Amino acid sequence: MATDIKNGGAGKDVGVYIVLLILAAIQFVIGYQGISDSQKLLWMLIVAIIEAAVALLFFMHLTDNKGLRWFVLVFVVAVLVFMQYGWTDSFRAGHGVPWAQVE
Amino acid sequence: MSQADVTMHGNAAVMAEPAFSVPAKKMAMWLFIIADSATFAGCLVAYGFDRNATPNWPRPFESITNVAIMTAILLTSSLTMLFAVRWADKGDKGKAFRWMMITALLGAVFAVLHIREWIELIDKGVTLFHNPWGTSLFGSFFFGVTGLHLLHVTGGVIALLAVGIRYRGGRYKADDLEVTGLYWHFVDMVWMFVVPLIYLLNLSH
Repeated sequence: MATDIKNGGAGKDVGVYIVLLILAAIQFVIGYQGISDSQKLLWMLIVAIIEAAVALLFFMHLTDNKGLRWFVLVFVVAVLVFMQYGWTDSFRAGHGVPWAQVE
Repeated sequence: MSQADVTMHGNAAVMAEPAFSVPAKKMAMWLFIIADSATFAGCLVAYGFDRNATPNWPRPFESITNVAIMTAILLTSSLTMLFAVRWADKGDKGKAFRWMMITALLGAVFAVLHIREWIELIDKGVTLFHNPWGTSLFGSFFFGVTGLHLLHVTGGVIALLAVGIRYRGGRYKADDLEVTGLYWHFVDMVWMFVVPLIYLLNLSH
């Protein structure tokens, strides 16, 4: 197992940490922008997904194990995608019609 | 190889390579992380559904200073956990233990700040089923989601202390530190989704 984490060193760890801090700061900046909630949500989620990918690849060392990387990716993405089926109904609850018909 | 050999020397020699060349403990942690991701995703999707469907959703957060500090602390604790794993990989038990205890301390500080924030909101009248601003669902989701995360942080701190102490005592190996580290990074990763959805979308400005 220890062989999984031989690539790179403390310098790379600090670099990835700084990248994550910057991405987190970007989320906070987006939170204060004068844009709609749906736009904020979209951009903040994009940043969060990038943050999660960076953490998975470099902090959790998925870069070092291709098989495990695909194993984790397929399961997590499948779960997240299947959870999106209900959004239409949330718009129906709020507006009386499914999202595609909300103007 | 006879049964006696297996008993005497373990069964590693007659076993096939583990899946993805990942040892069982690490694989178990990955499976837990995948399952726990589904738990948190379920909570956040349910929150998103109700927030979208509820017109008078409260926006009580005036300042993000506390959340920003908490985020920085949690990210820093991930870095210190990495240092612990690297020193353990090099065989330096003392430094690995020290970095692990720093990680646990940062986790504890995060938990204290989180509880302080809860107390402030409770003082403003927010409970699980009531708040002064709008739909009562806000308190349910806020305390539910952040409480689940806080539970994970608390469990993580306890695990860090237990594994760290046993690693220093020789009962656990460097691999065990790495498995604990995976859990800690996962807790950090979940926070990256909790902050924008629960806090930043509910700023009062």
